Amino acid sequence: MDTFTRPSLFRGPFISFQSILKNRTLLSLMVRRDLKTTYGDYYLGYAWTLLEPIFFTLVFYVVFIILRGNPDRLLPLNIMLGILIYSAFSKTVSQGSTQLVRNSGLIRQVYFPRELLLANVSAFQLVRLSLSLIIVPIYMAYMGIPITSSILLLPVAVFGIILLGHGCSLFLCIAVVHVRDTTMIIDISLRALFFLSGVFYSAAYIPEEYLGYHLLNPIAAYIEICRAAVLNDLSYISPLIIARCIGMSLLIYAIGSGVFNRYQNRAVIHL
Amino acid sequence: MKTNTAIELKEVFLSYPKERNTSPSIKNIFSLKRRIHNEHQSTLSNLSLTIEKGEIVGVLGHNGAGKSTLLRLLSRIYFPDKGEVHLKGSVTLLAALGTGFQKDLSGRDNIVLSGALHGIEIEKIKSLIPSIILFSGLEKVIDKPLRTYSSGMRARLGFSVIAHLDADILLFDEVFAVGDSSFRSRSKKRILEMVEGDTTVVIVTHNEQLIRDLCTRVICLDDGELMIDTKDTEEGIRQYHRSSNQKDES
Repeated sequence: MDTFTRPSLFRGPFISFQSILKNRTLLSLMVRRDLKTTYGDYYLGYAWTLLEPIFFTLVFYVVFIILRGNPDRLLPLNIMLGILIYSAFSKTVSQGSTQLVRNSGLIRQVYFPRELLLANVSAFQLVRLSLSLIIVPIYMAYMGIPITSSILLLPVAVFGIILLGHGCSLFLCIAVVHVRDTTMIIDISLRALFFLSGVFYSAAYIPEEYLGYHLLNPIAAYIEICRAAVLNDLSYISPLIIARCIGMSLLIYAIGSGVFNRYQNRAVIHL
Repeated sequence: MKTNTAIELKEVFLSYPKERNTSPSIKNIFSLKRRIHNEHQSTLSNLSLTIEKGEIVGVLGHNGAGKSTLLRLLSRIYFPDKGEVHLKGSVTLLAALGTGFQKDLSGRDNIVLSGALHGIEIEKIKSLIPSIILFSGLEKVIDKPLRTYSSGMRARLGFSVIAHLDADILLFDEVFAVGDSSFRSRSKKRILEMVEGDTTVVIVTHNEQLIRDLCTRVICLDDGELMIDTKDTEEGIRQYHRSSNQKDES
């Protein structure tokens, strides 16, 4: 017998996780649908996930190394990593937070776990980021950077940043349903975070007295973890910072899924 | 809940905000005027209803009476503000044709996606694909993108998918009249097949003949309240007309 009960805030993460696990086939279908509709119509198809970072790296090389004469030859790689990680976070949040509103027609036609709509965005960004990062070993080989065991931090950072974005989008999508202005606030916040998260500058450019504060921002810390993983330079990253980042991602996910599961049913009425 | 009961609603209340489908903004949230006027309007009010397993219930009512809201509540799309809802068995709502269809995917891919959204196991959908394609009569174009289909072809494909859904409780919301006359007659035959046996069915329709042909019970909603509930379908339809006429006169 199926009885309607309103879940408590604390059970939210478990309900969300179970629901995604139970409906993983539908989720994979949705992600494949999005990949097919995003890249299927192009002649170069999935190659665009690689061509985009290659193109940006070339632009940064021309601007910073050739035109500005910056001696740091790793700067284009550092910026490319920053942009890839940040744009994965930004797209997960901006697209995920509007998923309920954009899919209101579907939500009112058929019942399915609505967190799948958000998980679809996050999984799509995870696949896209993973495909884009294929450029990293190629670039490392070109620059003569050896691949070391610290490269194992790269998947940790990738999963961590997507989980952080997913958690944010879970509670933001409820706010967007009730107050549409939230999309503008998200948009402005994401633009501000772009400049505050060290996308265009690495931790080496931050004065030492501010470095601790800079790395309290989990997005900045994840970007630095990626750079450390690729360059095998752990001078700015400690196990404590990595643990803190993962902990923050899990905490934001727990809060987001708690809020989502508690308030999604009322939000649907407002769609 | 008794063992033979499929659906049980106890004193259910559900309200919509009055300014539904508008975009609330920060300005409106702090507006006193909006706070006063945007009260919630009751859509289902103190609704108690028990439907036995195998019953075929026709739901009548004016536009805005709460018929579709009732089906959405039973299919878990909506959640009651107050009261209890108990369901026994799997539930499928057939409210729209082409649920989840994506114009850039082929007809075949859309069958899989739409079926999965309705909760069918992927292996089962794959086994149903030949039958769905045959029923739709779209064999020649099934691998072409949906954007190349006419609206009639899309509706036929959509109906063919939902005509193959299976559940213990089926909820129909005005999805009967699609396609040409031959397709409509096949659709009606298929619906009759779906509702036979011990499947519990709730049908929202303005087609009174369909209610006479299919239903074993009629209920009528008015402003979210249960006004008529009878197993004599002809008498139920008559009472509905009488109350409609009285309402029109007043």
